[in-house]
Amino acid sequence: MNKIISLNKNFYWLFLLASLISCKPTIALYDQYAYTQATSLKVDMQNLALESDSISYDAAKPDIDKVNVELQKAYEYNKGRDLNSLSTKQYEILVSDKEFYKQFLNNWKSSGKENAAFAQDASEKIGQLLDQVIKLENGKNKPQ
Amino acid sequence: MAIDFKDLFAQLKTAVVDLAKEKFKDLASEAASDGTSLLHTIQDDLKRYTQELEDGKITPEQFKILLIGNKDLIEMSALTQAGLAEAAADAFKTEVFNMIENTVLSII
Repeated sequence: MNKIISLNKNFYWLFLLASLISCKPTIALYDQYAYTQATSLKVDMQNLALESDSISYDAAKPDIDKVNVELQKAYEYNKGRDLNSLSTKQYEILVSDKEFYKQFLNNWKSSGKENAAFAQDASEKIGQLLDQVIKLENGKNKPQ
Repeated sequence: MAIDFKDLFAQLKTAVVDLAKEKFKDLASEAASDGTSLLHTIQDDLKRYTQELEDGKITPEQFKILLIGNKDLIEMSALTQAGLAEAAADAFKTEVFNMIENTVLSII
């Protein structure tokens, strides 16, 4: 009888070990700070786009720089998290010179001011892009 | 001359199919299907941006930038879907192992 109990215990520990290895997550857990960063960026970046038809790029430069620093911080924070390559790739799109946000800023810079329709469209698009970052972060499993 | 969006969209669909045939000979039908699906995803935005361009509310350069925005959105949405699928798989694995652990513990 004792032998059976001992075998059962060994089996249990082996099983637990195998379970822990198999249970290693494939994607990072939800992070409240990352979520707050993304929601805050969404508001700031959308506001920036909305004011692009009323404020010149040069006048808005301090605000633009501030938002860009926050965007860079969010990118670096997400890049530093384990198992977080998908969110990092999303931020890579946002910070890339070739992609929408930086192209929008370049256009604003060269135009001085944007026209109203483009400011509205750009703000809407930025909102949709950041919604994807927010949706992914919010959909990650919550820490136990 | 006013742009006929239906006609433009039909032209784009034909162009996508031709491009798929040219670039992906063996997988042309899959590529054409993916490309057409992408076109449908951005159809509403494309229609609005085209109208704004025609009305002179946005410039050709701004139109191009907005299309880049749609491309980015498609990529970011794919990343979101991939991440949500991974998170769901992780949650399922955890539930299964919790269930097994509880079951084994209850019989020892």
